[in-house]
Amino acid sequence: MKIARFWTSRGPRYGIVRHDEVIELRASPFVNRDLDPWGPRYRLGELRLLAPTEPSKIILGSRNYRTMLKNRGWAEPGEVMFGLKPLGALAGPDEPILLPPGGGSYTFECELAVVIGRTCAEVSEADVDKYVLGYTCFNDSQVFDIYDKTTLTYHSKGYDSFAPVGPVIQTEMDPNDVRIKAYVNGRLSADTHTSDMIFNPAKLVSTVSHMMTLFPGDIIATGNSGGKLPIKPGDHIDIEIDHIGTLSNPVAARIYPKNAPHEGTAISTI
Amino acid sequence: MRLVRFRSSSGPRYGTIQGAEVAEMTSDPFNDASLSLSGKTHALNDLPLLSPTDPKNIVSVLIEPEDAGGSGHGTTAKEVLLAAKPVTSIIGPGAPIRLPREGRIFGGAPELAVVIGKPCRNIAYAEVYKHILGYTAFNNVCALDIYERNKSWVNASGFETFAPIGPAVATQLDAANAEIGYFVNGKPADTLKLKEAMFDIGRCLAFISRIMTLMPGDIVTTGRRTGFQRIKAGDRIDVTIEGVGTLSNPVVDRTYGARDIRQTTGGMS
Repeated sequence: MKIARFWTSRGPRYGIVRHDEVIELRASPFVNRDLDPWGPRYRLGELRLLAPTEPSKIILGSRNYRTMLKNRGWAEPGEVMFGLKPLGALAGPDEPILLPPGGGSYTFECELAVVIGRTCAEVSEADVDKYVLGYTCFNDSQVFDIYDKTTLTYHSKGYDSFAPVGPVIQTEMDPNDVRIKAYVNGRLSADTHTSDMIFNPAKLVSTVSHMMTLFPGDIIATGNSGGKLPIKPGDHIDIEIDHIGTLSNPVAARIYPKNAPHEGTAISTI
Repeated sequence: MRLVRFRSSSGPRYGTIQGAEVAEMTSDPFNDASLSLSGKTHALNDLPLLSPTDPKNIVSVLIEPEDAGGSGHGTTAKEVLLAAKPVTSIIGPGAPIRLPREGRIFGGAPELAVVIGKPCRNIAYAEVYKHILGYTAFNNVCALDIYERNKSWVNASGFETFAPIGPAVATQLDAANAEIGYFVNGKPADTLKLKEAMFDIGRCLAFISRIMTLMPGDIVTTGRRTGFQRIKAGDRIDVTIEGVGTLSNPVVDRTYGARDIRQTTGGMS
């Protein structure tokens, strides 16, 4: 089943996607797991889709694809590595990714993300499925220069709008056997498969659940699969994953007020 | 004014410290800037204090002291490194710091936490202080051996209970001159002098607001990258700031399998 979140005149609502139709759910899928589609119905093409989840945490798995590590000449880590994004980075389908001025290069990574359905901690790998609502596409955008300079990703990947997710949460799929493709301006830029992961989604969720309690809506991105792909304002990015669909986002320049300029990595002396 | 958050039979409540008493507020300081009081008071000593905020983001600002030279990452003294802890790492005064089995060597460091009062996005320097609710003490706990091994800040310092904060938010603190004392079992172990650590909190906040939108209740902590004090199960850690109070937490080994799962995103224990 595919779950979307969308804007209505009564505020944001969740619904089930069936072909080109969306049927509104009685309650949030994070509150009521029965997924009771009670109407009203909408035409998918006429809805403004939102990020399909409201997380309390956006967790990034990293260094998790064998081919990506090999291409960069990096050793496989012996353990799962995690990062975080601030909540303001969350963006929905078709929302622009806003690049701050001053960076020499900007990149994105195409990823499969796990969406948590029920509160959990200390979960064994075998039990992970009980707590996962489903899977979605994740765009992990970055100011590459800042990453290059600081090695800490919270700054380089933490800009508002740098974590688009969607378009829907797929509740019925095997996350270990899906193809991830990325397109920049319609041109295929990455073509990978989740079987290339070192630590599969169940292992990632189990490991992180021993460090921190996971709440309904939390996102765990499973790592860079296709390399860091360059982007610039004016570009259009599509991330396509089997059974989920395509997450599309335009790229634009972020505009700052004159009295609050973007400062890169260094605090200005004002 | 010093604001605290405490557990009550009807959920978490905010209040302001008045001598040995706490005057309960009708709302919370993020929604009601006038801080109106309900008329109820409680004895401070009897109150189960919670973390004074329940943030959506915990941002750590790390600036090397000027004399420390290169950090190994090509940064200079005026450059800023940002890191994050997950919100589930927050605990309040008195709650135990639980050392997980994933680590072997643990440390803690004194930090000042800035508590955001109003949403911050693209803030001009002159406007920054209007967006700050106040300041409190923060204990930055880290599994030092994990950080040494994989350099992942989240893996090393993101465990639950690794962000003790409190006891109160001081709204009038002279933050630029604040000194944060760190005590292990009552013995002075470290002092962070913000002046020497080159933090200009206003500049840090303006800087961060041009990257990410900070929300009311969010925490920006300012500390050092090095110089953690070793802590172990059985210790008691006190972090003290004049005008804020003393944040005191015991250290225990984490137990597995039999604990209650947290029911909120943070700040409840």
